[in-house]
Amino acid sequence: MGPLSVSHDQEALCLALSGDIDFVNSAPITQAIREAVIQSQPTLVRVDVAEVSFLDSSGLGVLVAALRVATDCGAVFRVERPNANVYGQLEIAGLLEIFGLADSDGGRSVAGR
Amino acid sequence: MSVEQQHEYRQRLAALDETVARAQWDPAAQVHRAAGLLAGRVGCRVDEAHTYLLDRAAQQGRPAAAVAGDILTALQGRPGSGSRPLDAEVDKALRPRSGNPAAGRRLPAYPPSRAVDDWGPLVQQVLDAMPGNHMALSPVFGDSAEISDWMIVAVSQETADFSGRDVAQAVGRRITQAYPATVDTPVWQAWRDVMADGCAREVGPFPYMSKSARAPADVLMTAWVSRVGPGVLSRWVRHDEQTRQAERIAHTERLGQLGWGEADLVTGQIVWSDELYRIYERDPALGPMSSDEQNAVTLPEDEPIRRQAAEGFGRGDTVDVTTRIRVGGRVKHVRSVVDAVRDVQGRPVKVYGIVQDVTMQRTTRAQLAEVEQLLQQHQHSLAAEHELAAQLRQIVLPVPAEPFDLPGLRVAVRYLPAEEASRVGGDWFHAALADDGSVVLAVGDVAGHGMHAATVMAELRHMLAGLTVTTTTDPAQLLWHLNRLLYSRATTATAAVARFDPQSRSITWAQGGHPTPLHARAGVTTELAAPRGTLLGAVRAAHYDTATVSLAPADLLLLYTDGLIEHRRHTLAEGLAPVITTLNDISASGSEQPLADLLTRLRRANPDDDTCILAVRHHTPAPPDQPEGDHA
Repeated sequence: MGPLSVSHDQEALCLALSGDIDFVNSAPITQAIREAVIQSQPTLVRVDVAEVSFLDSSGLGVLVAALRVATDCGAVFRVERPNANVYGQLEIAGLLEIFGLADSDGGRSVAGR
Repeated sequence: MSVEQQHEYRQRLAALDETVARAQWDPAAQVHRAAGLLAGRVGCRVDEAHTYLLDRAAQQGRPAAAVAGDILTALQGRPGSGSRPLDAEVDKALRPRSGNPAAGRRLPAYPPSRAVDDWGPLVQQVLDAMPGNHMALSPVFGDSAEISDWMIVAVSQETADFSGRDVAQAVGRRITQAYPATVDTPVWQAWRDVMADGCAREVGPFPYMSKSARAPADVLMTAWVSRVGPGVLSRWVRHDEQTRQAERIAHTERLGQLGWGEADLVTGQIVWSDELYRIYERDPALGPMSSDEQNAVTLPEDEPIRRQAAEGFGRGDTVDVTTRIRVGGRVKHVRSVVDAVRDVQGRPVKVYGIVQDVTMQRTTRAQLAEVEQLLQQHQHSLAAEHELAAQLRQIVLPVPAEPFDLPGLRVAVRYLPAEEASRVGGDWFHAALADDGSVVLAVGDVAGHGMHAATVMAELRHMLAGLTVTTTTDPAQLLWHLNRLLYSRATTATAAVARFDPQSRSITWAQGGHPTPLHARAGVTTELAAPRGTLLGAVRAAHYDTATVSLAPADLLLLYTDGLIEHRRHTLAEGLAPVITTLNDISASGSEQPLADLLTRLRRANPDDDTCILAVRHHTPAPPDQPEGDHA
């Protein structure tokens, strides 16, 4: 299985990322997400990052690019279930609120590590 | 029969006996009879035999009649098996004189068996040097003068091995004991027939039921039997063995895509193996290709290789060439190793070759070479890009080698490029006096690597420098502008921006998704509490807050990019710990050059990423008349 899997849940587009998301694979993942969002025109884009072990600045760029394309399509964007490290990175990047992780601890408590 | 008649009969018999007895004692008649018998037996003329008899008697100094008597006794005793030594002597002596009467004729059906003792060891020596299953047998006669059994005179090594006994054990035994299963098989009959008429025979395939527990229960055999010496030589093959060997060879051929071929230059006969037909994709029914036909499928470009090989072959070299052939619309690479059986002048009389389809190996090798070349090109372009990016950095962002002074501050910078050339990124710093008399400090990190990151980095840095002159020195305002620029470029970056006021010695700072600066005072290091700020370029309408910290004379402030602490297998806290320890040590040490110490000791966590470090401490310029020590 690759670092990205795509599924649909009613109006929501569910993207699941896994492994290290970094400068090595960020470009093709960004492209794939962009195509998936434009094609399915969802009202909600959920990115499950529970299986993400590492994000570098390019990996963060993937999430930001996903946010932008979702916003452009008028969809709500959410990042879900980050592990502690990823959560810490998102916190430093000041993205918790924008990714829908700040208003509740729902995303964080599910993360198993 | 009446009594008279009986009497008459006896009288006649007595008369006959008397006549015979008289005749036997007549020396002349004796010699004549012996000569006649001898001539008949050995096939020479009677007068030759007569002369021989007289000569022989003269040599031995005996009366001719006495020698004749010996001969008569010997030859009359039993048909064909008289006095053996004499027979042999006689044969030997007569042949040179009679021009070999036996020449051109088949051997006598029942030769004297005395020779068994002589031919056995010789045949054994011959068989020792031969592959295959061979056995030399000598007939054993029963009471009725019929062959009742066979004595093993010699046996080949392979046969002995197969039956699990050594040659010495087998020789001298009888077939009925050693190989009882042979009795009454077709080969048993063939031995008798060959013995009787001297004509070689092939028998089989016939089933052979071995009685040995070690041998296969039922195998098919074919045997060849011929007359040799006073017995027969029997050779045989087991068909299962032949089939097994053939299968093994075929399997090897298929696995290795190996075929073989033979060309007899004398008879013109060419033989191809099955795999060779497969390699050339030729119907075996068509038979092997002629040399011309093979030339025709060879690619013209490879003709010189072929010609060169042919010349070498002519000189007596073994040929080993790989050429390309076009068969079935595809090009195949075929390796041929060709050698020859040559006559005394070195001219080939028989050519044999092993041919292997090496297309796969060739193609793989060619593809590898292609990939290798691509990689090399890629590496060249990467190296070129890296060099360009490094040059760009050098132009846009020269990193001072030594700590330098700004109003109220001493500043030290270190830039550590990523270890891999392709990953040199967009880390940057800024440390300059602004128009309003404050000092603006910044470090930043543009996401990604290579030329794109370097270009964006240059834009950001120039923009920041321009803004501090024309617009504002407020860190939050500066970040707001940088965010707008990055958002329009659809690129993200992080940055920490600080403004130092030399008068109040306070630092106001803001951050956009960036690791918070570290503040060390008297051996205690703290992460500054981060004001709100979003990753630059993530959202269009981002807001940035500021925070303020005061810088006491011995304090150290460290701004850095995430390469210093970020590692994919450690948490950020784990990455931060050694940096904090170092800062604690240096700020507690009271070193005269804490910045230089700091830059020397700090090790980045992530060699994959580039790292930028900017450290500052308080600095008061010495009065002009008092030259300052070289503190860093």
